[in-house]
Amino acid sequence: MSGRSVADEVKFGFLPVKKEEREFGLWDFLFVQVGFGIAAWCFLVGGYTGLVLDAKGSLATILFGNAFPVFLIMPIAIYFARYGVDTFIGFRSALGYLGSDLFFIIFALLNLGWISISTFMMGESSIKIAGLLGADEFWTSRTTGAPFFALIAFAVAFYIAYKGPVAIKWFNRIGVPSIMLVLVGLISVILFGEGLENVVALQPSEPYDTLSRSIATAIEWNVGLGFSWLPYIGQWSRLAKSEKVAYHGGFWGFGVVLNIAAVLGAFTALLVASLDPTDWMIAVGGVSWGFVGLILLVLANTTSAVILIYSQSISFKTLFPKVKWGLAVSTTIPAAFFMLSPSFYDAYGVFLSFIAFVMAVFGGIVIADFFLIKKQNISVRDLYDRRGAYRYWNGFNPSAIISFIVGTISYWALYNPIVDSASGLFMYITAGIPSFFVSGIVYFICVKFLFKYKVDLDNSNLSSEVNKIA
Amino acid sequence: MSNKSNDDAFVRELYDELDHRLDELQQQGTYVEKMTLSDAYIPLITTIVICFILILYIL
Repeated sequence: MSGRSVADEVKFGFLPVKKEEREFGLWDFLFVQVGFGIAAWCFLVGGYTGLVLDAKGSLATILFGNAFPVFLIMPIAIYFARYGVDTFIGFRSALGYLGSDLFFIIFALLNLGWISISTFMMGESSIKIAGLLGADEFWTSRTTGAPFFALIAFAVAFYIAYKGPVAIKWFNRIGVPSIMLVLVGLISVILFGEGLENVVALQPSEPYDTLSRSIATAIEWNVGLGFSWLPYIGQWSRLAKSEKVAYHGGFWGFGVVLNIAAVLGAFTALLVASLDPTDWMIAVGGVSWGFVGLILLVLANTTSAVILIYSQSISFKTLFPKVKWGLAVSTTIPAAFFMLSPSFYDAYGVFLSFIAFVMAVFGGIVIADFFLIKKQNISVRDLYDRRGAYRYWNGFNPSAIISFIVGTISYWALYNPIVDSASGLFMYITAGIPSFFVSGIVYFICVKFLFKYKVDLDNSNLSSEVNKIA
Repeated sequence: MSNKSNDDAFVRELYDELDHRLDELQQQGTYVEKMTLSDAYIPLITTIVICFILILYIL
């Protein structure tokens, strides 16, 4: 049984990581980030972008939409590299103990979305394989076959995650090369099959009424992916051998290299006039290569689901070490509900915009807190003591609550992703990036003038008591 | 982690090790080499270039 290895992982996740335990130099760090990051979500966001913009526009918006948010939030990697703590332990200094637990719940809810996107894409791949094999309508339909295969993929991924890190390591050795082979295949088709000049000349199949609206919306989708790495930064950065490695590895990995997959996705979407990667395989590869591509997508997406399930379970165990491993893994089961129909998978753009809103607002708060308020001085002992200095108001930081509310209002005033309705200003400034700045500025003002806690004012000599002085 | 006593022993061991590490960290201040602002200039320049690419496309 995997008990001992999971226990080791929990211990490793819970404790601050010492220098001698850290494994990642710059190149190792970069490869791990790219291996983790390049998956269904990159192709999909590229596919969405290629549907509304031409090749040049897709390239510009994908680069900006990913690199700029990552540039804004990546300085927090310094925090986690310096102290070696996990994301949800580290964020206690800005959000409070219960505030950080609440952030974990939000992360877990969004993670359920990512799990279902991965498994449903596996389901979509499977029904196309079933179609090639001449199966009945039940197995080839998006409303019956795809949910069925998605649930099977989820069950397999759940079991592998439950078995622990040894099983995951072996499965990763299949899944990561699979997605890389898909990348190589798409590069070959675009460069040598169709020719880059032809791709550049193509027009998008479903643009918005105006170019500015297409650009702004495409940026917002990509900004969602860029900000989505916020909860994962701590998990990886604490394993980096220096702060510089964590910062550079994170920026180049999540902010720049990952864009290769998204750009390829956009170019292929332009060629095929479909945003769904499972449609691309047969369209660009023919039946034989398409079949291989679909098999690779099945493997890659199941691997992504395993990593996401395991990541959420370990974070849960790290926050609550006394909870059983089986219960921790079971927190991912609600993801199955999103797989029962194609509705959630088809609403990926809305989901990305939600991520942009949530993570941009939290990003602004944690960056402002660590660099402008705490001035990079954290009491690690207090991070682990739930009655310590970061208790604020009953476990929540009121400045963070106010900033979250104001950041939320600013986002939704600029853009409503549910009905895809944009204000006039959205076309010029989009929504996620300004919300990052709004929440950060409001947080700074609240701490300085509204909710003054000693831990925020005098962090050179941190006390273990909650000392509200005004 | 198959029964309660094993769980308790695991959690106790975890918190003992945590205490030890927190003492160490308090003495050292950090585990790793600190980063300076100048270490960030290449990502900064890259981001500015990417912003210009977008502006050029829009214009």
